[in-house]
Amino acid sequence: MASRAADASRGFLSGRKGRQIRESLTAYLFLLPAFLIIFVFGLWPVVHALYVSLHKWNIKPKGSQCLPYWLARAGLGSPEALERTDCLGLSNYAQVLGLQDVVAVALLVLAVLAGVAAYGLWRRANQVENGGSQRLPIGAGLLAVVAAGLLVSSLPGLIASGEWTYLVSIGLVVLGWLIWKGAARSGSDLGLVLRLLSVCVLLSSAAFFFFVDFQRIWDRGSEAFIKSIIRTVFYSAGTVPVQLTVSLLLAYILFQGVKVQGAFRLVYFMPYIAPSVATAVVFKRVFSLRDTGLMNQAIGLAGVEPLRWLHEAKAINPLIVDLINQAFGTNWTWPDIGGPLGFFLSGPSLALVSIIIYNWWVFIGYDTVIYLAGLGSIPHELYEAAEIDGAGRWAALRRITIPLLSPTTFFLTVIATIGTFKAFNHIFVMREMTARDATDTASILIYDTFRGDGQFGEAAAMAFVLLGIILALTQIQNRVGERLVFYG
Amino acid sequence: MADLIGAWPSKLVRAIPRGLIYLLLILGASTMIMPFMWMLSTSVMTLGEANAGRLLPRTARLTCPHVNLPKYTEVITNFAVGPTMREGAQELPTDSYYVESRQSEGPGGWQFRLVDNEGEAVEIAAVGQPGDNFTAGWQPIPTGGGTFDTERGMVLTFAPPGGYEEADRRSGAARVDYANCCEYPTWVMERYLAERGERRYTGPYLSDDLSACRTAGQKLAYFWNQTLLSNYRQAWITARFSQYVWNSIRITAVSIVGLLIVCTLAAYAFARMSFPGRNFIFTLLMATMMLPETVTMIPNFLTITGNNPFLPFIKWYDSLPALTIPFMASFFNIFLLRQFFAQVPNELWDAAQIDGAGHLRFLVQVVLPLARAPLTTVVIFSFIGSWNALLWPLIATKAGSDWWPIAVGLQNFVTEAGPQTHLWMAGASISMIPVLLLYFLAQKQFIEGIATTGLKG
Repeated sequence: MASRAADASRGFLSGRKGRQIRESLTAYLFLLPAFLIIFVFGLWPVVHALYVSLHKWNIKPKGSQCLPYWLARAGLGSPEALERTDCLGLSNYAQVLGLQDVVAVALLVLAVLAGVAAYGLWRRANQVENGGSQRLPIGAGLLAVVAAGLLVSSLPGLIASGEWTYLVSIGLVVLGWLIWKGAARSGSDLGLVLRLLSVCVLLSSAAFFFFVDFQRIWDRGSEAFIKSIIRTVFYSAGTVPVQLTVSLLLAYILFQGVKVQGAFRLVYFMPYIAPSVATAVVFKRVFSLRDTGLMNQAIGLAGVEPLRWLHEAKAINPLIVDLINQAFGTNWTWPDIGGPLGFFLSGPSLALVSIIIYNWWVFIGYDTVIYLAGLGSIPHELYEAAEIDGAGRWAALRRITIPLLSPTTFFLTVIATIGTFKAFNHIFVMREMTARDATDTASILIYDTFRGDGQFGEAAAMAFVLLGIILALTQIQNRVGERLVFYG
Repeated sequence: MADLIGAWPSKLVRAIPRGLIYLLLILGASTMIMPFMWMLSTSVMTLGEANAGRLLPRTARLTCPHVNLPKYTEVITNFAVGPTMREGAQELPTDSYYVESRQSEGPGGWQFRLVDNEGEAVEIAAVGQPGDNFTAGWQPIPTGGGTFDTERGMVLTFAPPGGYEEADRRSGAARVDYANCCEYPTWVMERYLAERGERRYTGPYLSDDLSACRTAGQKLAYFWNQTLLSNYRQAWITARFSQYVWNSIRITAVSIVGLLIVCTLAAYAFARMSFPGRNFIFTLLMATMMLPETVTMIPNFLTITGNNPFLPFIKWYDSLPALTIPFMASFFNIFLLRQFFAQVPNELWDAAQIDGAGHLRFLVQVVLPLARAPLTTVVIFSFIGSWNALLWPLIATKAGSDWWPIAVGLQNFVTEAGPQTHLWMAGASISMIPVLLLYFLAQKQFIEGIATTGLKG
């Protein structure tokens, strides 16, 4: 009774409702520091970076910024802003991506996004049809109209700049996908074959148009950035599959009742725990170009001539041809066709491969520990049942272990792929001036543009393109994962 | 009996794959551990031994016979060409060259040569042959001391015997008089103090000739000071690693304390309190996990330098707040703690309420003592993350800053000091030892924390 009286004396903070308000206020107070910090250093920067990416920006812009400039052009602000401006609009993006009419392409991208969203809504509407929700189909229709509008408004720009090929390649892929979906439902064999054939034709022409697109991006865009993206892809493709396969094997072996499992786990995990800057420094010396470097001594045991490792800017495929020539006295050369295809086909530089090897060393232990946790959660009865059914070890591995580990594999793939696209520390430490830009992945290039050249705007634009790629990759992985992952 | 005979072969056959498995695992484990071993072993070598590609330091140095070590290296390696660059000399493209020295095989004195960043010999003017005679080979060190113009834009200074003074760091110096190891403890101390106080060292040149040492204690003192610890001492004092480690300790401690307070409060609010907009705020904060540092680094740099239009009063560039506050709230840690806090039984809260406790008191007195395991995980992750942070400290501090943490210091040392493998490894060991020690002490928390949550901070 007494406490209720005390509550009452606190005015509007009393009673049940008052307690609710008090609790909310306490909660906001609890949240405040974390929210402030994350907002200032995590959320706000996205808006700010987007704004910076529209400028020619050094630490303090000299002319007027975009906001006053646009206001002045709309007749709202002071006209001085018009005289000298650092506002570039989207041309940083155009420069980075090699786009001529960046507005038209942006409209096209928005149209595609709206189209995808409309399709998703429409499907959901079909699924809940029996529930009778009327709003979903309307939303889908509205989105489709918006998509069509955006598409139409992007057309003149695309045609004028010759960038209509983007539209064609996207259209071909969508068409191929639709026919493919239909093929799954098709009844007759002949129809199926015809559909599959047309899908093949459509996809190969799409590939042709993609190549045309890419060649144009290569010619017009910032070559350094495009190369850095390709290098990042090499880096990602070189590390993730290898490290997952090896660690799955290791975890599987370790799980077979190996005696000192704990000790092995302790050792395998060490490279991951150790500070990456320090281990990168160690590997910088392990991959020394001296004949007496550790790696050169190791390959010397196999009779291979010393290599230049981190200092080698040459791509790996021509290098392998050179090594073959050395070993067998042949006189082959790697055809240098130039352009994006040539750059792609000759593979990563040996310097990047060295960094990839370092990456295996660091992450195999980590992946193994996660896989071990995954293996531990597979119920033992399944193996017993399989054994009773006469399944051998191999069959158990194929039919039980690997499918039941697929969530773990999926998690590791996503984490590792995103990690390789974000990787900075060890690449920054391990890069050598003699290899020039051979190891400059996207994040390194962004850092260089930002700190080295002081081009804040261009660096921010690059960072957003990288963010877009990471988001798209995550989406694709989620979609593929949905289908392939088996959640028991 | 027959059973026994019959059982043997099958056991043997079964033992083979078992043995193979262990062989594979041990092979893998050695690959994993090899770089660490190599690092430790190289960190107690001389530069010459490291460059020769030895896996272990010369055992001769440990068994103490009469040995000739390239001791000039010790004196001259600090040498980097800087402002003494002669006008009009443009042949030297980079700024670090090193003098390697050795005692010649035949009778006679010491020899030296100039090497570049990768240990390749550089062509310089031949000693005693003015004009266009350039050589990359070993050349005699002038016995009387004096200066020598390499005609590559720098002048080497060889101090005469008996008159050694710590050379100007920009030129080089070498000397040839000996003091036997028995006198070391005094002189080593002297040099140590000289290096610390940046005074000049005027003692004798310390040789590795141990033949005059009498007691085992003297020899041991010599090895401890001169062989095993000399690289570490050089990294610790000359290369400022002591300061980097101290900075890192301060930064890590402040971030962890701040992080525990900030994240615990937020996690508690998300887990156990209801308020309008909870899910919305949670999702909003979760979105920050996806963002790569490359997107946020540019605006954050603008913010801490006072160029944020809404927060112009924040001027944290090159100071402690810039290095700690952005790390104090990480959504990942909030999420981790929230998952645990949400599992605390409601009965406890009811009981606490009856006893008159509010949320803060319940959090501090009931929930936190229960949450020791997740808190340990959070502390471990933040320790590693903070100790290893490179990109942000690199951006948030100026060149040569007094606030550089260990990762930036090591990275900078590696780029500035040139290929001094032995010192690099000493520096890498210094930065690795605290983390690995913690790992060995708390390996269970480390591995289980990561196996259940999946991420390093």
